Amino acid sequence: MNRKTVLCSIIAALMLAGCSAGGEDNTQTDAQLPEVTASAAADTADDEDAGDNSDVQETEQAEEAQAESLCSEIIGKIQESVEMSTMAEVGRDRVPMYLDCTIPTDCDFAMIFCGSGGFADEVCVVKIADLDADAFYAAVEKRIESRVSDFADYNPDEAQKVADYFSETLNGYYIYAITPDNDKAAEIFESFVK
Amino acid sequence: MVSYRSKKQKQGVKFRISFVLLFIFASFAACFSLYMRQAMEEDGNGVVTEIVTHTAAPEQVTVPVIKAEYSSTADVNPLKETVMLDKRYFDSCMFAGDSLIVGLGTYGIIPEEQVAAKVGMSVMDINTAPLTAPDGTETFVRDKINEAAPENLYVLLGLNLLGAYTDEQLLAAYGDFIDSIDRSKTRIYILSVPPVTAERESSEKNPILNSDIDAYNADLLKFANNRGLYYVDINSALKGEDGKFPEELAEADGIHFKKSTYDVVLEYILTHVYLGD
Repeated sequence: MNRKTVLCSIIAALMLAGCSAGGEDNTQTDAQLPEVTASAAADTADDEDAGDNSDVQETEQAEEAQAESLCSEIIGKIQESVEMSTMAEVGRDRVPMYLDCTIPTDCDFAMIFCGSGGFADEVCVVKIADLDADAFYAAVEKRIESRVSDFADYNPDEAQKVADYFSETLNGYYIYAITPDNDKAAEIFESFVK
Repeated sequence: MVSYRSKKQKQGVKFRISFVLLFIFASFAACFSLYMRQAMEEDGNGVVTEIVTHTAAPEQVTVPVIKAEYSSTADVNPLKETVMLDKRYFDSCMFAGDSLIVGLGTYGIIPEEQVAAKVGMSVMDINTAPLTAPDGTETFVRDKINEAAPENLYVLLGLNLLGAYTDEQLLAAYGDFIDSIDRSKTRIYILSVPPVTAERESSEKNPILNSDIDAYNADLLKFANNRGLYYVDINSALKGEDGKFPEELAEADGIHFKKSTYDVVLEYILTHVYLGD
């Protein structure tokens, strides 16, 4: 009987000790908060490091995929050859924010547009053979109309640039380009997909 | 038949085990209570431990509860530099305005869902010109904001149509927009209009003078003070030593931001948040 009592008491004491040890962090004073924050930040950083590794792998995979992407090559060459404003890349996950469509993950695709909002420059190349072409053309038409409207009163020169956009479908690839030199963009596109 | 002695022994054992079980249960209850208390504190003002990356003094930084009434903010405007909050602060924010704000979304700095802006938007048409989604649906800026009910709203308006209307007219329209926002849920920060480059000032086509921007910003500060809005002076943060927007931070038009310029603006915002009295 005594042994049972002692045993139970020990278990209870151990559990209490465990609980109180876990609660130490919670009972710190405000003055100790910054340390807790720093510690928490370090923990978060560790977690983020772990996450970063997977991010790095994903990024490497994405870069590999991009390296194999003809669309990305075309866009890269156009960026090199045609002077445009500071451009931002539009990943396929962001496409629905700008075009009324989605791009399947296995579809070769690349898009850039002016990041600052001040200019209308925009280039999109897609392997149209992997998409519902008519739906995509319609989405581009809507985009063009909307952009012309956006710039009409604000910057008529840019509105005209949008209205003069270039588009072409060739050998299963489609491009639309709003740049200061659409002829050059067309030449590059054709040289890649011929 | 159980003897009196053995009955007494069993009762003694029963009593002690019950006591220990009660003790264990009490300790569990205490631990659970502590855990719940901590969890509630994190929900209530988790920003204290989550968004502060460094503190100048070992004091708790809290974002105050939004008040229903709006007294003058002249005593806090323009907002002074504070501790730098973590970037996660932006999760609680929306940004509204013209093409300068559009850039936050297009560069992918802030999710588009948290941006209510349009190229060419001005204070004169923000209440009447809708945002158009890719599928053609239209939403007014105020509706997008009120539907999202962000904790913090940053507004940048004024450069478009500057000079085409008097400051009084522009600010009257600005006031109409502010009045259309549900401020019971949202704290509003007004961003001062950024400077332009020297080249833009002397541009033959559509020049904009920094002196006009400064005059407008002075009126904007008074407007913010009178309406209980918080004024974030990004103009000062973006001005070079010559009082102009440095060419290296600007796009070719001398107005719009390069991507790295947004980093300057956002860092300024993170260090100029209203943290209470």
